[in-house]
This record gives sequence, C-alpha cells and structure tokens, in this order.
Amino acid sequence: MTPSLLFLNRDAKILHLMRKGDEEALVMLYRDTRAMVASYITRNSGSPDDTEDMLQEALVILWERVRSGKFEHTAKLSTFVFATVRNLWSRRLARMRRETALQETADPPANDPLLLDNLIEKEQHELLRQAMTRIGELCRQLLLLFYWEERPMEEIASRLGFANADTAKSKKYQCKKNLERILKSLMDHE
Amino acid sequence: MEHWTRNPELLEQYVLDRLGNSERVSLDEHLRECDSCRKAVQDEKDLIFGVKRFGREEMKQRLAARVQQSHTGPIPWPHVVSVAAVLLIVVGLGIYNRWWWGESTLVLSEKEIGTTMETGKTDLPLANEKREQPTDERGAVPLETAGETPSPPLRSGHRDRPAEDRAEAENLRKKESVRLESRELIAMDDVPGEGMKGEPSQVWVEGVIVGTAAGKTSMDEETARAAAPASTREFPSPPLQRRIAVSQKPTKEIPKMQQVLQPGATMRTSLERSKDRLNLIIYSDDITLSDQNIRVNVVAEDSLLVTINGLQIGYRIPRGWLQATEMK
Repeated sequence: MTPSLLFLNRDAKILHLMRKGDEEALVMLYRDTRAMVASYITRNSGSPDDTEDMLQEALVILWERVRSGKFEHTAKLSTFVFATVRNLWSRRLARMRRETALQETADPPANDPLLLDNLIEKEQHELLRQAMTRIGELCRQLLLLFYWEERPMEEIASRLGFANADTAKSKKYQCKKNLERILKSLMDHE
Repeated sequence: MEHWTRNPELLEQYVLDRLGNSERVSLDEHLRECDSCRKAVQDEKDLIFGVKRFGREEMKQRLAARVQQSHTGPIPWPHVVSVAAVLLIVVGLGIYNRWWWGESTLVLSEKEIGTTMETGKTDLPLANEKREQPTDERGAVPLETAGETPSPPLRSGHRDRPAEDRAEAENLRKKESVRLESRELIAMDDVPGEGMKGEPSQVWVEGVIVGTAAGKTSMDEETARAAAPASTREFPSPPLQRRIAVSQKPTKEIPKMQQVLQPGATMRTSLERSKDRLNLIIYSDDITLSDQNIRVNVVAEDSLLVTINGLQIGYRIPRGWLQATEMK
C-alpha cells in the first residue's frame, strides 16, 4: 500500500507532481500566477496574448529546471515564475525596440544582419519542426526525452520499452541521423 | 590535432556541456584554428536546441489546451438538467398565466351572454340592402347563428366566475336554446393612460371568434347603416347611455409592445374611453369596414359582441367601462 503524502504547502505538492512528470502541476501554477503576470505584462505595454506566451514560457523553463534537477527551491514558485516572466519580457521588449529602431533607418530591412538572423532562425525552426513530425513517434519521444528532458538513458530505455540503455543509445543515434537526413532534405527543397 | 568534431559522441557531450573543464579547454583551442569544426559544432547546437525548442513548443501547446479545458471543464449534466427543469417550470407557469402578455383570461358566463342587448342607432348612412337580424324576446342576438364554424377551445382563466353563476347560466342556456360555440372572452389588462386620475384611458382588448353568422345575419335598418362606407360608426346604446364608436386602423399603427397576438385571438383591438363615448379601434388590414356589415352588441356590462360581415368576435373589456358613469 502506497502511503499518501501530506504536503505542507501548495508549492511542495506542485514540485512533487513536476518531479513525477505530471503536467497538471503546470496548470495549478498557471492558475496561481496568471493574474499577477497579466497585471505586470499589461502595465508594461503587453497584450493578453503576450501574457499567455510569457507565462507559458516561464512555466516550461521551471519544468525543465525541475526535471533536470537544476532547480533550487529557495523561494516560492510564484516568485520564480514572476521573476522569469520579468526577465523574458524585458528581453522581448529590448529586442522589439531594436527591431523597430532598425526598421526606421534608411537601410532596407533585408540587409540588416539582425533581422536576417531572426528570419533564418525562424525558418530553421520551422524546418526542424517539420522534420520532427516526420521522424515517427518513437524517435520523437526518444529525442525529446534525451535532449529536452535530459533524462538518463536507463530511464528512457525503461519508459520506451528498450532492452537496456545501450539499445536505447543506439536507437537514439539512428533517430538523430534520421532527423539530420530529413532536415537536409527539407533544406535542399527550400 | 585530429578534428575531434568527427566523433559524434564527443561533439554531443561538448554541446550539451557535459565535459570536464580541462577537456573543454583543449577542444576550444582546436576550434579557434578549425573553421569546419566550428561549423560542425554550430550545426550540432542548432539541431539539439531545435529539438529542445520543439519540446517547449509542444509543452506550451499542451499547457494551453489543459488550461482551456480546465476553464470549460466537463459539462455538469446534472446541474444543467436541474437548471433546465427549473426554467421549464418557470416558462410553463409564465405561459399558463400569461405573465408576458400582461393580460388576464376571463370566462364570460352564459348568463351574461343571455342578457345580450342590441345596440341602438347609428349615425351612419344606410346600406343598400336591408336585412333583418333575428332576436329573442329581450332583443338579444340568438347565438345559435354563431353555430357552424368550430371555435377555439375553452381555456380556463384565473378569474373564473363562481360555480353557481355557471350553473345558472347553464340552465338559462338550455331554456333559451342558446347554443354557444365559445364562452371565452379575453380582456387585456389596463394600460395606464392619461387624464383619468389614476385610471387608464385605454385598454387593449383581444377578440376571440365565437362563431360565424355569415349568410344568416340579418340586420335591421338602423343597424344596417353600419355597413355603409365610413371609417367610424357610432352605436348609441340606450341602456348604457354610452356611445360606442367603432373605427379601423391598419396593423402598422399597432404599437410595438402590443404586436404579439395571443393564440386564439382574432385581431388586435384597442378600446379608448373618452368623455362621451368609447372608441373601439379594430386594427386589421384584411377587413374594410366600409364594405362590411358591422354590428355591436353589449353582452354584459363588461363584454361586447361585435359582428363584422357575419364573423362574431367577443370582447371582454374592463368592468364598468360601458356604464354611463361620468369620468372623474
């Protein structure tokens, strides 16, 4: 019989769910912090869409930190989320200001290296998104678990049903090569 | 130094920052001198960070969907059904009691029908054809002439007459062989008007077809004047000492609030009380009064029976409006 856990506060419960990989934890934290984030974003020239974007981004960053074991619980989770949102939004505003300033100069935007970089980055991301949707469900899960969630190979092997970590590692190598091949093919067609 | 970037595992460990500091420093030294190696490192970074970004975007989408779902939530059917049931009951009661029409349904007893009085003269010109209207010994219009056409079913009102009145009326009905097709007359609630010291000066009354006397109706000479072309006819009613003027207006002149005609009603009608007479205004685009035989019977102190081209329409009007009392 599994003993039920008693959490002394909501943050402890959310962290426990995150460590288990339960995404419901994000919904709980979203509800706890949305009003505060919306107030901040709208007071700083943002829209409701920006609120959603920034809050989701901050929650995903927290998720990554917790899942990779890099998160240090020294403050309330809402404080962490709010601080992350503030940083993200400041960077976004600074970037928007730079882009606006560049667009107002006499040079055609296409010749600007910053705008070109942004364009290339967006195109690359779109191509990679397409490639990821084509490599198949098993490869997609494997690559995400390894590169994004940074799970150890033993856990990945167990979760995806491989015989052992070496088999999973070998499969990961194949999947990565497949992804590169599809990506190259997509770039050649561009 | 060999191009270490050709080792895929080492390249991946370097990009994922999983190497020791000393090893990393030596690899960095090589990168400074090797363009193709820097390119290989950049490609590896693009790929791995691309996968990470894909994971983030996927998670953001899942989160948005979860939040959306938690906002809408599953449909609470038991709650929905209970609310619907309550609404149904309220609407049902409203329809039954006609809350939205602001009206009341009255049932005219047969006794009152039996006291039908012929209205008197009209100031209007005579019609070309002289016809006779059969009456009983008290001058009432025998309502069996209203006979053949089915009329609307009886509806119980919330202000029914007492049971003894009904019994008496039933006896009277049998005695006088008055066959009624409908005993229901409908009155609208008073509409506040002006100049009546708290009393309304106008009410909207809905008539209900109580029968068709087409082909059987005969009218006396004076009444037949009602058939003459005129927009207004007046019917001085000797026992009531009040004149009833009947006029017609197109339906487009009906005020918006009054445009909903209740089921079973024939047409929208307005009754106005002025100092010396009552004005019964019939709103209809189908009837041309100038071409119709019109006849108004005061059936009781609060009821009128109007015959237009043989079509009999009963009206319930506010009690006392047909009396000769002076307005205050």
